[in-house]
Amino acid sequence: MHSLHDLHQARYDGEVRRASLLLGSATRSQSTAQEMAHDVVADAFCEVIRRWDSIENPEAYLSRTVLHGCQRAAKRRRREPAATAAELEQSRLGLSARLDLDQPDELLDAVQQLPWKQRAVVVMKFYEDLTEREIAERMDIRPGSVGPTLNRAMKKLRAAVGEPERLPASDQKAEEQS
Amino acid sequence: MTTERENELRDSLQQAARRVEVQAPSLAELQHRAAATAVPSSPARAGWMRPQMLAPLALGVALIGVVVGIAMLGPSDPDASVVTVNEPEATATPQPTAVPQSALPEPTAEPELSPTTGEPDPPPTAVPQSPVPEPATADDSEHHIFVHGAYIVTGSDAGWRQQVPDRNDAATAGVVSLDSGESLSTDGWGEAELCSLDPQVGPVKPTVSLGTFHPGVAVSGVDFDPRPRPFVEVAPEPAHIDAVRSVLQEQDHPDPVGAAIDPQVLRFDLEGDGVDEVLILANGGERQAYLSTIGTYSVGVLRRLIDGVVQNKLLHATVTTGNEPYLEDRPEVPEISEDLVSVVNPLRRLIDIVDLNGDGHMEIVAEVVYFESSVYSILEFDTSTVGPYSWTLGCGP
Repeated sequence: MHSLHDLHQARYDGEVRRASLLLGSATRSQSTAQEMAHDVVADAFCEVIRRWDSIENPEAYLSRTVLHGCQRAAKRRRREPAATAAELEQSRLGLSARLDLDQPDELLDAVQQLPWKQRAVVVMKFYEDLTEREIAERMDIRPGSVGPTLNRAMKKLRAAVGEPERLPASDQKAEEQS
Repeated sequence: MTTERENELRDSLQQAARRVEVQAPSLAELQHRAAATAVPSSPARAGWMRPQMLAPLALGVALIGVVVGIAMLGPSDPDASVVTVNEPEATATPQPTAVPQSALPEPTAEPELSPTTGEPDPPPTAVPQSPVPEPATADDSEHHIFVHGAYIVTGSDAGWRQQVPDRNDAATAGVVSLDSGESLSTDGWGEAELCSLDPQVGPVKPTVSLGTFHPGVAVSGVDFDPRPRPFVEVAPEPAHIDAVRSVLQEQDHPDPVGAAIDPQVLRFDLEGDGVDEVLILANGGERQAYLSTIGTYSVGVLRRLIDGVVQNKLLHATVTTGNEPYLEDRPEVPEISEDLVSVVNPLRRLIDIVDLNGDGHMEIVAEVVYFESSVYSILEFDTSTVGPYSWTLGCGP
């Protein structure tokens, strides 16, 4: 990324979309989520602009700043009660309904109900296709904790969509032999 | 989850992302916003410690960091909102019993405690850098700003809070007036903004928005140098790691020998006597919300040369040693991981090392982070071997 202009062109939209997924169900409504996502990304870009001369990897810095911004925003918003009945109603909807998808997407809705850390790992793994090491660097956690976090998330997702538990490899082999 | 399901998950996330409406501001708009919300850095870099800079700074400066009102720090001040003494009593770090001898701290040889007036100190070793730069670090000079007015503003990653010195309710968020005729306003736990103060309508905001990545210290209204001596971060040496390991041993850590220890080590001259002290802060394990894994720890140790002997002073130590079903009665708490089974173990991290009361001795300002709360701990040392005194400000454990 050679210039701020390139970074802005290449990353702004994508960061807003990513932030919307990361913010998940922490918001009262989808419009709130998108506003919040825009705010987080704009703030992150401002931070990048201010520190442009001292940042070695602006893309990584931007992604990480957006990630932390989403975490703070989600935490702040969770403490606030829904202001109106309509907002309360919206807050109960899954993301697929909020986005007015053609049909409910239980998997997507389940992702939005995951705790912050698990949701962030799932989004980075399956939306951004990052490796566990990349996820760990971005979240500032140990690489070894990404796998267990992802496993817990997938366990919840399996339960949410009614998929049976996966057997351990040894048990799978025994079952196949029998 | 099957591969098909994983692909389905990928598709769902992509589809959801595509449905998000994006109206990107132009780069020019962002640059304007960045400039409008920027904290002027040149005054901070050029001489923010000089008393004569206070008046001009107070007019235009944007706050980043913790604003510490000196009036609140005096132990004899009856109105100070210093709420509790929360640190364990400082004692020399006890000798462990089961840690291998090689893991024990050296009792006398301490290469980093070289008199600064004698042989020159060895240059600080470069601290390994993360591949991705941190948004802010303790040595980021931009977050040290002077501001007039005896107030404390505490800042953390989670946002900002303000504290008014004549109130007892710590961590009051709201609007306070500054001597410069400006105000600070916070949106609950959100970012604080430096505002113009209109006597008719109150704060007019924003003129400057404070960032959230700059925990730090700012001192106002004083006629002394709050940073008479610098501190430097150095790479951990075996003696530093062993000092932490000894504390873990003493605190019944389940695996003090095998525990991963990667401390933050800072060298500074606490009393101004030409002999450096070394501060060791180590946090390990995993924390989330109220919970921490067994073996999670937070340890602070100060290594001082006393009567010619290096001694480890324990500043704080918390170790999660057992499994306590803290959340059995808290089903409403959402962020729970199955392996985070135990109790609160706050993270402690260094904010700054400064002289806050003008006695020529440095104080250590640390942040104690615990879920939604954040406490600022100011460790004040005296000239004797006793100490430190600890003043904590904020809300939390």
